[in-house]
Amino acid sequence: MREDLRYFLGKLSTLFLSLFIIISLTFFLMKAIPGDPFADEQALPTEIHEALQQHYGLKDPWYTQYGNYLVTVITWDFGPSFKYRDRSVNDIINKGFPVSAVLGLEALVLALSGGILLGTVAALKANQWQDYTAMLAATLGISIPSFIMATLLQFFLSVKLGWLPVARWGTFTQSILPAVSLAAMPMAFIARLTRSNMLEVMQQEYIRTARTKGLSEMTIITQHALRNALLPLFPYVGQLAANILTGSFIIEKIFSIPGLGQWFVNSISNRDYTVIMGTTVFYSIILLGAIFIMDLLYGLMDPRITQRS
Amino acid sequence: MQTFPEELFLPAELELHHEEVIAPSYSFWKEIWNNFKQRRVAAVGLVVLVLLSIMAVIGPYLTPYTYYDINLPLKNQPPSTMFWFGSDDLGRDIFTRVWYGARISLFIGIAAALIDLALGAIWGGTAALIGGKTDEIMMRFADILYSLPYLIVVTLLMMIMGPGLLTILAAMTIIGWITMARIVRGQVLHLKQQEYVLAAQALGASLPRILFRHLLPNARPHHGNADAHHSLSHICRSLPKLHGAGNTSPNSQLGNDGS
Repeated sequence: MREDLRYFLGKLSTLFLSLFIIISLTFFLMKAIPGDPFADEQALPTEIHEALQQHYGLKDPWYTQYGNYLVTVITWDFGPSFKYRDRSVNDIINKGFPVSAVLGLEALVLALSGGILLGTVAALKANQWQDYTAMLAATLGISIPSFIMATLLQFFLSVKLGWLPVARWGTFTQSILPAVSLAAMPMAFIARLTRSNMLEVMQQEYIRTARTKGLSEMTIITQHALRNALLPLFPYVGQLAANILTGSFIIEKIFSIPGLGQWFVNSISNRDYTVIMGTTVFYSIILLGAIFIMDLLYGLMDPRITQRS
Repeated sequence: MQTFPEELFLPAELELHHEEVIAPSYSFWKEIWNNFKQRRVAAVGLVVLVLLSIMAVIGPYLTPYTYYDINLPLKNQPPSTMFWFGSDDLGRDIFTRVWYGARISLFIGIAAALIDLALGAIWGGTAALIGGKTDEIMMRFADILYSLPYLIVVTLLMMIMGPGLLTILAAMTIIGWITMARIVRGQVLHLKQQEYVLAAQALGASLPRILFRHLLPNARPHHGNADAHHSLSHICRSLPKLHGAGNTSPNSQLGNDGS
C-alpha cells in the first residue's frame, strides 16, 4: 500500500513539475513571436499604443511580467482579455468549456463505443463481409477530414432531408451532427486498433483455455479477450479525451458553437496574451490530468506493468 | 606414472556457433510482402497511391495551363473540356493545381509519416523498455511539447526557418510523433512482460537489440494501423491551421484548395 502511495505521489509531483515547465515555456515562446495585442490593422497613434502597453504592464521588465503571470495562474484569475475588453479570461473558459465538454463527451462516448464495437465485430468476422464493411467505414472515417465530413452531413441530412438542424447550439438534436463529425476520425482509428488487437488476442492460449473450460463465446470475448485487446487504446484515449473535450476550432466554426476551441486559435492570431496563457494552462491541466488517469488505469488493468517497472 | 600430453592443458577453443534467438532470417521485408499479398485492400491502396504519384508527376503537363497563371475573365468556371476540373476564383485551372498540389502533399505526407514512425517508435520504445525514471522523464517531455500552443510553435518555426517545404514538414512532425510514441510505449509496456524478453535479457542482449529485434517487430500490426492513419491524415489533411506556413501564394496544396 505504501508502495502504491509513493508511486501515486511521485506521478503527481512530476505532473505539477511538467505543468510549471509548460506554463513557463508558453510564456517565453509567446513573448518571442513578434507583434502585440494592440498592433491592429488600423495603426494607433504611437502615444496611445505606448500608453496601452504601459497600462497593461507590457512595458515592465520580463521578470515582473513573468512573476505577475505566475501569480495569475496560482490564484486562477487570468484578468481581462486584451482584445475583447469586456470579457475576462475566466469568463471565456467558464462559458466555453461546458459547451465544448458536453459536445466532446458525446463525441468521445460515440467514438469509443462505436470504435470498439466495429473493431470487435470486424475481428470476430475477419475476412467476411462484416469485416470489410467495418473496415471500409473506418478507412473513410480516417481519410475524410472533419470539415468535409461536417459539410457533407450538413448538406445531406439538414439541407436536403431536413432531419436535423444545420447549426447552432442549445438542444440535443443540434449536437448530433457536430458530435458525429468530431467522432468519425477517432472512431475509425479506435476500430482499426481494436480489430488488430482482438485478432492477436483471440489466438492466445488463454483464450483456448477459456474455450476448453466451456465458457460461452460471449463471456470469452467480454471477460477475457476485450480486456486485453483494449489495453493498447489507453495511451491514445487520454490524449484524445483532452483534445476532444476542450473543443475543436473547425467544428465549432462550421456549426457556430460557442465553445472553447475557437479561443485557442483566435487568441494566438490576436496576440491576446492573457487568453493564450489561460487557455494553454487550462488545456495542459486537462491533458496532463487525462494522461495521469489513463496511466493509473493502465496499471490497474494490467498489474504486471507496475509490478516489474 | 602416467604422463599427459601437453595439449590437454591448453585452453579449449571457443565454439564459434552461438545460438541466435531470432526468427530465421526469412526477412522482415519478405514477411511484410507475404502479408501484403494476402490483403486485397492493401493491394488496391498501393495501386491508388501509385496512380496518384504518377499523376502528380505528369498531371500538370497534361494541360496547357500553369498552376499560377491568373485568367480573371474565366474565373469560377464549372468543369468543362477546357477546364477539366473547372477553374478557381482567380481563373486558374484546378486540374493543374490539384496535381501540382498533390506533389507537395504526397511528399509531406509520406515524409512526415516516416519521420513520425521512426521518432515515435524509438522514443516510445526506449521509454517503455528502460522504464522507471527514464520513462517518466521521456514521456513528460513529450507531454510538455504536446501541450505547447501549436500555432505559437508553428509561428516560431516560420520565423526561424522561413517559409518553405521543410518548415511545413517540421511543423507537421514536431508534434506528430508524440501520438506514435505514446502508442508504441503502451505496446512495449505490454510486450516487455513476455517471457521471450526475459529470455533475451538473460542471454545478455543489449537494450537496443531487444527493442529492435524482439519488441518492435511484435508491435508491428499496430504500427501499420497508426502509420496508415498518419499518412492518410497528412495527405488528405485539413490544414486551415497551417495556411501560409510555407505555402507562399501561387503554390497550391491539396489542403489549401480543399478548404
